[in-house]
Amino acid sequence: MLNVERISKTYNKQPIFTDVSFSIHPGEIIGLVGENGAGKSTLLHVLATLQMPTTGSIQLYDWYYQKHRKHVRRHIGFVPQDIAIWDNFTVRENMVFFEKLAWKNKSEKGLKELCLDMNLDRWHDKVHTLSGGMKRKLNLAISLIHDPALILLDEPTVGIDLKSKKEIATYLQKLARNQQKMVLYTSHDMDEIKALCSKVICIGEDPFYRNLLQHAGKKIVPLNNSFP
Amino acid sequence: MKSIIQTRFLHWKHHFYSFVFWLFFPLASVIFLHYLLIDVQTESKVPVGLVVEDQTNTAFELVKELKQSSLLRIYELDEDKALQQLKKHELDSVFIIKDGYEEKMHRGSRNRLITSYQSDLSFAYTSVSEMVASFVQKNTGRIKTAHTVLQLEKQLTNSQEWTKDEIITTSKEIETNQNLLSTQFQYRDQVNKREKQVSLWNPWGIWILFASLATFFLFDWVIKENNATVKPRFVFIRFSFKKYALLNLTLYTCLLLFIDVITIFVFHYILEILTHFSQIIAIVTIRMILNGFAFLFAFKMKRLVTYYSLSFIITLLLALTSGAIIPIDHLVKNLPTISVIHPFIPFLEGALHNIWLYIVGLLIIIWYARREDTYA
Ligand SMILES: Nc1ncnc2c1ncn2[C@@H]1O[C@H](COP(=O)(O)OP(=O)(O)OP(=O)(O)O)[C@@H](O)[C@H]1O
Ligand SMILES: [Mg+2]
Repeated sequence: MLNVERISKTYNKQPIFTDVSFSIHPGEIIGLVGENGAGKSTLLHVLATLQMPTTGSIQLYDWYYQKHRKHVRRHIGFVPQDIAIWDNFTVRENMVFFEKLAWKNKSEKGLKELCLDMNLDRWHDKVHTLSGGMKRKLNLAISLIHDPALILLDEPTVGIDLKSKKEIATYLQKLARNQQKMVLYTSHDMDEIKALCSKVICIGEDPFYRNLLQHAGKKIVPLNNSFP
Repeated sequence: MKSIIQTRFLHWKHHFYSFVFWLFFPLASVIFLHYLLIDVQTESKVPVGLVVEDQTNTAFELVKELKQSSLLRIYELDEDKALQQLKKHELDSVFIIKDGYEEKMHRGSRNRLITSYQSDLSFAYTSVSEMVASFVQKNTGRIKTAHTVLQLEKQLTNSQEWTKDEIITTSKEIETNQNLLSTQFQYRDQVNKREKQVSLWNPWGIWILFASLATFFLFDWVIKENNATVKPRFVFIRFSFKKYALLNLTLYTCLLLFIDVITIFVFHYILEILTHFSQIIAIVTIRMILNGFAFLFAFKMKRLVTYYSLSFIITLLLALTSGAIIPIDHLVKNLPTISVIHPFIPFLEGALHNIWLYIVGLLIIIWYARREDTYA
């Protein structure tokens, strides 16, 4: 499981978040909400080892982020907010490219299945001919090639149609339920959050999301000090 | 390394033609210029009529040698026709190898072996006749040497005991004969040098210009991939972006060294340039410098257009100051430091050490060792 203990992050003495603690258990999908600029991406970057927390400690299973940084990374699937794929490649080439460099090997059949599970079937099409939804799915599929235990998604469903959103949500649910993955993801779509997540983390000063979700009966993860 | 090659192939596949184009661009350009130059030279060859009356081996040999000259275009004609064409200025001059040329040469007579004609417009007559005279002289020299050797042989078989005087005089004779020969060889060498000056160009000097440009264009992948959206993904795979880039630099260097070896062979067979061992080291060195520099330079750039333009300017400046295209002897004399700091000059001189190899190597080590704030 993932254990986050009293982490805070400051940029040039400007605090983004302070004293955040929570944990994620295998099989859980946790939502991360907050207004624009609240620090959702920053928190995800810290959890993805892309940035160091200013204070506090994070632990994935028995590995500490500070000490076992390299090892922790092998078990993280990070889905960036900006789509990170080779635009001139086909879907297949994108998958093969990252599989060759990945920590775990997968057969081409396995890669194709991974895509088909999300209903991404345009295997031999160039990426720049794909729709936004298809690109989002590929963006997610690439991050899952090495079969990570902790999956961090930064707005994986932003700007796509309802059908693709549903397909991605269903897939995430399957990952958590069947493969006991830990999933943490951000979204501005509260319906999606309500439907998918067992718990929600609210960050930022604005109580808007907190109130909204509490009214809907969602369990809010208490964050010490994050909300004065 | 296997996965680096496999992933690189995925990239190459998408711009295969331009990739192959830039790989072979330097070699192809030099070969193209070579044939262009040959064409120009053939056009500017002096047309000379040759009438061969003497049907002997010695005469044929002279004909053969004249035909080999890159300055002359030889037409074998009969006397009437040759003179007719000379009158019409279709020929620059006419030379007639007279009957009895070989016989006279054997007798040691050098008078009236060859008769020559020129017109009022013959501008190459003097130099051509000089050339013919040198061939003739060389042949007579050879015959004389043969004569001496034959005589020596006779003396050796006839009498076992030589007097000191005899040995001295014979060796002197051999010496003088050898001198005669060697001066003629020198003369021939000078002729060769003169011919080279006509085709004044240094294939490796031209090659380095095209090679440096091609290297810059081949390394544009660094900019494309360094600024790609996929960069954050390198944190979660087996290679950091720097390691991935460095391994690709190695791959590119191996590939380009292979192309350079092909270049050496093609230059050897088509341009007939022999590449010495020290030159091979110079080629390997300049290849590593070019690749390393293009690599680091591309890492500093954000926009492709700026990169291409600056590459073009850098290449042009380096080429102009290297002396490979225009001679800059006076510049080098006035500014001796330029030959020390210029990356191309040690290469063109076939020097074993090029200070830039160490500079670029050091910069790459520093670049690799430096941690970046994010994605470290
Ligand atoms: N590299 C940085 N240096 C300084 N400040 C930064 C940096 N990156 C982000 N910030 C600041 O940190 C705060 C949080 O940014 P972040 O991107 O985490 O917000 P977010 O919740 O993801 O917003 P959005 O919903 O728009 O994606 C912002 O106020 C931003 O200006
Ligand atoms: Mg964000």
